[in-house]
Amino acid sequence: MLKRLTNEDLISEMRTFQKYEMDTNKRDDILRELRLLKTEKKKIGAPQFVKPILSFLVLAFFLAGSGLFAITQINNSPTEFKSGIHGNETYSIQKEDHFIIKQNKDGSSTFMADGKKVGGIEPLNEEEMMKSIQKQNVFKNQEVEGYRYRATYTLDHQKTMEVVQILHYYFVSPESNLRYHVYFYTPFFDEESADELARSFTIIADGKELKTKDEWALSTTFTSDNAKTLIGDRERLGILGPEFITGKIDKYVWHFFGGHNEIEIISNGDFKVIGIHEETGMEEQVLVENVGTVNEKQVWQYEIPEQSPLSGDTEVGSIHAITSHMKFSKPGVWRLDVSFGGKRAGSIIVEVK
Amino acid sequence: MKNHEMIQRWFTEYHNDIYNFLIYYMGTRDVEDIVQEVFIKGFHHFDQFEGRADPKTWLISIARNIAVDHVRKKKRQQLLYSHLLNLFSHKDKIPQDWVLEDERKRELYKAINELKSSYRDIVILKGVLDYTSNEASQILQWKPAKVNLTYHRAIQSLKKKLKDEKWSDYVETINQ
Repeated sequence: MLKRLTNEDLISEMRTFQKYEMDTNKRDDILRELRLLKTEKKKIGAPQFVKPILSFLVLAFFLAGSGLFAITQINNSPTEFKSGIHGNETYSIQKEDHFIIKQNKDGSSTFMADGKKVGGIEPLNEEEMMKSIQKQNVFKNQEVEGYRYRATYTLDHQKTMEVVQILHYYFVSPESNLRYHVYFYTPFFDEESADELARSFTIIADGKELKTKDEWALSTTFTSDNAKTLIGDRERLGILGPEFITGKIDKYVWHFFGGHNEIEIISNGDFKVIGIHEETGMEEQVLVENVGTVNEKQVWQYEIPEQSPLSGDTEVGSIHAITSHMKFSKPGVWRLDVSFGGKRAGSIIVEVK
Repeated sequence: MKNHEMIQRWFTEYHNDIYNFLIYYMGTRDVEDIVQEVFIKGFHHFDQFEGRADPKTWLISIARNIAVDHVRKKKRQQLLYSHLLNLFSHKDKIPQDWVLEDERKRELYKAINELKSSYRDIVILKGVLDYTSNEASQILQWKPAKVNLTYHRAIQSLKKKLKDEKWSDYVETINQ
């Protein structure tokens, strides 16, 4: 007997639609973006010198007359310093009203408030950075994320009359070997205001903001010993096979290169490939097993017992090779994260047509 | 608290509300970027928030506007494509990247999407996402009487749609 579908049936059925939660990584990414939303930034710039060039410039200024040198010091216009310095970096940080930024002739800057130093920025090389950290009473030392560059943060207890703590940030330039030391004195700055400024710290080269290399740059191709073209990294792993075409299953051979360390990784068991689609961020199965049979299906991994013998291809010059079938559900850029029994062997970024 | 701090706090508090709304409203799970867009737009139009009692409903109404824009843009691009698809397959598909867990829900969701837009709006808000009439009235800027009336009519229309579909089998089974 067929009864009527009631409003209540319908309403209670609707209530039980699944509720989703956003991926926490994605959530943190957005939160990071939102932190960048602030009042318009005013940029200040200060040049970064290579020492010999600095001496040359100073000498040149002296030759031109000490008057000019004095004027340059007062004006402190970064463009005047920049001219003639090839491929150099400058930096900028968000300007605030409650302190001024004094630019020094050695390329560093000092934050001043009421005639006192409250912080600053200085470019260092790696050794100088180590020394800088060593002389602190380090209370905290950690790699931190969410800044424009790779960063180390240290908290330094001073306990002098005027300064309680110094908050230090060391930003690594993605293009040169410079470290930028950006530091803030408490109590003039607190952790929050210092962090806000640190997040705005930008390195500029040739008029462009430098960005940390993105993890989605397509892998390059390289040529094997027997003149085959592979995609990937000559030192670690590469893929040999046809063009990647959406929805099409094709055969691809993975070649692994390296020595003892790599052998340990690739002998570690199941061969797993996670495909991550750049545009949607979705992780998908791209390996296909039992191709051409009724059991054909997409899988995360091929089962391989631990310590199976390795089958390198002497012609290609690899220490191990795995034949796979792969299929991609969408066109675009994909990152393939490869691991053996949970040990990461590397990533390859490919474009799927 | 400054505007940008406020937006960050709201994001922490309401991101999953916006996320679920967009998933059901747009029929895809690929909505994270739009969630971000909602909060950035909220930040830029912060002055318009004043006078609104509830940040959640304000944000949902922003999300709805953005979603409508996106769907409109997409439709133009996909019209030809989906027409071609329909020539080859008679099944109506929901978007491929998102599969609802059970058959019954799928039928129901499909029927909801076939409703006219004002019915669909209120059914998603009040039915699927369980917002109160008061909240729905703030989101849609409708008078409470209109919310209740439209919801009632939408349910009737939904029932009619489901009667001659697979749904009747389900009703049969639960009534036995």
